[in-house]
Amino acid sequence: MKKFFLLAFLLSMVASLAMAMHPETQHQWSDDQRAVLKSLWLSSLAPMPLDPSNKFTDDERAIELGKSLFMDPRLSGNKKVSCSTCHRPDAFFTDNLPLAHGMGTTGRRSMPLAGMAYSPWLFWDGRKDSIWSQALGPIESPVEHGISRTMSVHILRDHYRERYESIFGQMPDFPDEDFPDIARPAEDYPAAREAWERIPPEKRKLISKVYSDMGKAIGAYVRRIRHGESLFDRYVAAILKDDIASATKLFTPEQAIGLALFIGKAGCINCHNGPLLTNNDFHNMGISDGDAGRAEGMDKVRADEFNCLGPFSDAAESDCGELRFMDTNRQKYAGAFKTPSLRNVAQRPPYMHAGQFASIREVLRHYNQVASEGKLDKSIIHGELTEPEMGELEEFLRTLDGPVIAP
Amino acid sequence: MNKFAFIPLLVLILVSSGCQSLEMVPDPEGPEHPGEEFTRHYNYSHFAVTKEGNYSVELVFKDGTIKEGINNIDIIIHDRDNMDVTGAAVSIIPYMPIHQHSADMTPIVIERGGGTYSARNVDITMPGRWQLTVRVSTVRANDEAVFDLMIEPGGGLMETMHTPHDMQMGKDTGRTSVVSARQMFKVTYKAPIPIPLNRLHSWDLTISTPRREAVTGANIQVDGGMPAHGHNLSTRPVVVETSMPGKYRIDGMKFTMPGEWVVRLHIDSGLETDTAEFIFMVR
Repeated sequence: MKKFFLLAFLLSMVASLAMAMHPETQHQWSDDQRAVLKSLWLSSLAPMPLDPSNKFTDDERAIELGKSLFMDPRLSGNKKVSCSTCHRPDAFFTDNLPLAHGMGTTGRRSMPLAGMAYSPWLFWDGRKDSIWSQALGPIESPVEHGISRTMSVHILRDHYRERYESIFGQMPDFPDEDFPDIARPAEDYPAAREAWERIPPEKRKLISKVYSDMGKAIGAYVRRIRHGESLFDRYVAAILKDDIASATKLFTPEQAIGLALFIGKAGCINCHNGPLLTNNDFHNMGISDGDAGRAEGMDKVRADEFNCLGPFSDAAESDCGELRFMDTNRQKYAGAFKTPSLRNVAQRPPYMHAGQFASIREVLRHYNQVASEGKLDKSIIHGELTEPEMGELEEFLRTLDGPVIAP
Repeated sequence: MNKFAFIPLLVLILVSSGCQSLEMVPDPEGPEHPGEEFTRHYNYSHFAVTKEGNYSVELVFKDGTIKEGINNIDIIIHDRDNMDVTGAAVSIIPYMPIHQHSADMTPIVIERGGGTYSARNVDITMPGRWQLTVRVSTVRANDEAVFDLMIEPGGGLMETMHTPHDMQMGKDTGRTSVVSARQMFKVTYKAPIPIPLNRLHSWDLTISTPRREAVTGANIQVDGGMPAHGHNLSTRPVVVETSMPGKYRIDGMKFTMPGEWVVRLHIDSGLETDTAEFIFMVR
């Protein structure tokens, strides 16, 4: 038996030496691993899914109007906040703040927007089921844009009427005296709610219709924001072509080891899977800090008048599968938040839904910590990573940096 | 990356260096009936030597005969030295030459030890002439034996509880069949191949009684999850009946992680209730 161990030891020494002398051995992947790499490759991304709830997604005029609205600070209580304040086009359409800051400070971090066309759920808690309905939420939030749907409609009337009507048809008249700017179906502000309820129901519906059109234009634009090729994608292309010489130039041995951890021991692909490195599902990471997360988000999306099944959606009921078949397991989703894409992850600290961690290393250490406590779902456990392994994983995650392309 | 490539080399060195710990332990029972080339254990079994003479294959049918319906078959395999073959990959493929079709259920083969394997769900869909091909693969040789059998009408029943872990995915059709826990129903599902990750989709279901009568009007509830992770399904799928007798559709299937998933169908036909379980990999 001693002989066995001696031989095993010698052989492992030879193996380590061989790897050190020939870094290309780091770039040898089994067929199964190659299949996983291919599944994470940007070129494997399916064509952009349709949004049946928004029939204007392919209308170039809607995309252009949406872009103008996205950048327009007039859509805010202080005329300083636009969608692009927190979703900065020069910073991968997010900001680098722990908590988003519009008119005030929100309870969560701004989400990046690239690839959202592929996500059935929007916001960290998935309380919206389309980009267009997501875009409408912050407008009426007092800490984000801080205005009302009534005021939004007036801004559209005063500044965008012609462009609006070329896409959505004639805009009804909304005289200021009948439609006070303050009016919205607010739960946080009784005066706004009273003003809203004084407007006759059929006229409220007209306002909400034009407001939803505004969302559909912004949604048509945001849908087009997408990821470009990263170093990782070029590496996978080389591996799939058996071009080890190029692969060796593209990835350091540490990055390759980090990738092997990512798809293996660390179990990252449980949730960060597919070409966008997210399953768009919701998981409790043990850092909810009292935020109910998805457990509330699922109630909100079901009750949302702007959801796929609602009166302002262009979809048939059969198109709304995600909402109809939504899992409503309250216990599972208490404190659960949406898996974000890892593309460009190194470029956008801080991390998690409320920016709790300043660095990727802190996130990885957190996972080690929650794993040792054993209270959470096993799918979020990232293996017991050593500090050098965390370093390798971080090196790999940096290879996911790439351009974000917007119209 | 390729550290396993050293294992065969390691074994070679250990064997050639005469490592004591790897010496073969002789079978305490010794070869059975020395002097005969292959031993046959039962006189009512069906016995054949594989095409290239590597193995003997003995089929032992429950009650001594194979009938129309679902059959369970014991398979005893010996090698050229008449030793029990253990650790082999064994498959059994029923085929009806005259109709050029195979069974619609994939038989499941489980090793029992001592050279014996059990094949479950060998589905003989009609009486007539059938061929059962038994394939045996070991590190030493891949070989197969073909049994020509005349099968009488008259219904074998599902006698053994099906273990879903043993289930094999139908390679070409995406169809997989199981027998429900109390053997009240045969359930076949057809899923897209490969089962998609992160995409809402539907499965087709066919439900019949053990006697192949379509089960109509059943109320079917779906649950499941990932046993290794301890979480449930990512969606709440719903089963709808189609206009074809015994045919249903599960809408709202979605799997958001790679790995092993289980889907359970709680079937209430009005006459019987039972649970059918599917276990499968999503990659």
